[in-house]
Parts: sequence; C-alpha cells; structure tokens
Amino acid sequence: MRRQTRRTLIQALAALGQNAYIPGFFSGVIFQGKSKLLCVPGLNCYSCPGALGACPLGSLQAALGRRGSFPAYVLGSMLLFGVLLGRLVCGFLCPFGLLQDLLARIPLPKVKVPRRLDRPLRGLKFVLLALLIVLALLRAEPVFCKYLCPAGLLEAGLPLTGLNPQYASLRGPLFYGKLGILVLILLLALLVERPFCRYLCPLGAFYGLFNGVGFYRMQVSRDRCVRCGRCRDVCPMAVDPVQTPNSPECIRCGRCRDACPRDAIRSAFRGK
Amino acid sequence: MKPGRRAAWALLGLAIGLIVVGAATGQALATLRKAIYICLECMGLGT
Repeated sequence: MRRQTRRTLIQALAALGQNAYIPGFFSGVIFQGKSKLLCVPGLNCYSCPGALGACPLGSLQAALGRRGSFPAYVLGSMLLFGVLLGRLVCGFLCPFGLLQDLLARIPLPKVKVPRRLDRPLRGLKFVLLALLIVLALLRAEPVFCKYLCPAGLLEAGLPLTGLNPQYASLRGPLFYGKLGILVLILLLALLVERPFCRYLCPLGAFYGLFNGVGFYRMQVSRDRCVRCGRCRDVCPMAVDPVQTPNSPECIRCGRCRDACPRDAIRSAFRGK
Repeated sequence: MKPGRRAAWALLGLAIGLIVVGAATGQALATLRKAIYICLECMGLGT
C-alpha cells in the first residue's frame, strides 16, 4: 500500500475512532460516557453526537474560564500530544485535516498564495491562540468555539440542528455567520491546501511549537540531497524541508519523503 | 543525550506532572462535566 493511501486510512480510522458513538448520529443525543474525561489530540468538537472524547481547545477555554484555577489537566494533555507527536496530529489524527485533504484531491487548479501574503497570514493562527487564551480568561466563554470554529459547526451544529427541531429553532445570526465561515474555508480548501491548518488553527499553532523540540523529528541528509526541490513542490504547507525540516508549519504528512528521489528525508521518533 | 532530547524528556515529564496534578485536583472531572453537555456556543446557537 502506498504511504499516502496508508495515511488517508489512518486519518479515516482516527476520525471514526474519535466519533465512534454511532447511535448519537441517529438520536441527536451526545455521548456522556467516562471517556469524555480524556482530551483527543485533534480538533474534534465534544458536542459532535459521536464524540467519545473532549476537544482540547474547547476544554482549555472552559478550564481557563473557571476563574482561580490553573488549567493543569488540559494543558498537560495538550503538552503531551505536542511533545510526543507535534503536528503529526494535524497530518494523521485531525478529522478537519482529513476533510481538507479530501477536498484538495478534487481536481481543480490550485492557487499558490504569494509569499508576501502567505507569511503574515501564517502568523494569524498564533494571534488567534493568544487571543483565545486572553478572551477565555476575561470573558469566561469559549470565544474561538463560539465565533470561529468550523469543526464545531460541522460536527455538532449541523447534525444536531438537523436531528432536533428544538435546536433548529435556535438558529440565528451566529449560526449563519459561522456557516458562512465554514463554507468559505471549505471552498478555499478546494483551491489552497489546508487553508485552515495554515492560517487559522490555534491547535495547530500550539502543536507547531513542539515540532522543533518534540520526539518526532524529520531529518534531511545533506549528503544525499541533490536540491532538486521536489520536496518543496509537493508540500501542502509550502514548507521547504531542506531548509527547515522541523518547521512549525510541517504537518508531518510525509509527502516530501515520498517525493524525494534520493531517499534523503527521514522521519522517526527519537529519544536519545 | 543531545540537549534537544533532554528538553523533550523534560517537557514530557512536565506534561505527565500537569495531568496528574489536574486529575488529582478534580480538573479532569470538570472537563468531563463540560464535555457531556451540549455546547450551544460550539454549535453556533445562542446570541
């Protein structure tokens, strides 16, 4: 099996595994078992009818909103995923990442975002991460979930309002505003690879901080590399793996490794 | 061991420590309580 096919399979299994409470999709009642104690690694809304675990970003905002306590548990969980996997989570375990990857496969001409626009936009996700923390502390509400998170609307808002007329009656400007954002991101994903992960995802920004220090690392052999640039051309995050193999932007999808004609790129968990 | 690896192991220790402290102080149960109720904000409902 090709490595990218294997990755898609792992992504699909991860998405299904994190949302395996199938009866919820028919009844409109969310899962309430003990596994929701645990944070899942990716952006997966805990109000999704099938969700078995808790979204780390939603949990972080809720924990920060409880005044007077340091969010040790959620922060520890996020740190654990970050240091063990880094943005491998984005490339392999995040359901919203899978959706964007599938949309990118639709054969439409792809847009290469100009560097002078791409660079500042990439910083936006770090700004959102900081804002999310500050606003959760100040306003005690999950601001990112409420106003921006497309996964929440897709996984929870749309199925639950479709299944339950009581929720459907609560649709208002906020719902339609978020729907607009979701549609925009999905349309963008047809033309630009992983636009949400590149520019907007605060969870990706957090995990990206650990790409350089975590256990999962990429290495480029300078002896083998012939600087053909194929790795850079296939990268969905527009990273140059030869220059920065452990860039905070790298989602560890491994496309660069597959494209390398000299087998110069390696990735592995390294503890020593 | 390289310094970078030492930092990774230190962060791993910190992560496990935070999880243990959080679980011991009831924060894990607070996460559960948040996650088992439907989050209207996440769904884009409300004002």
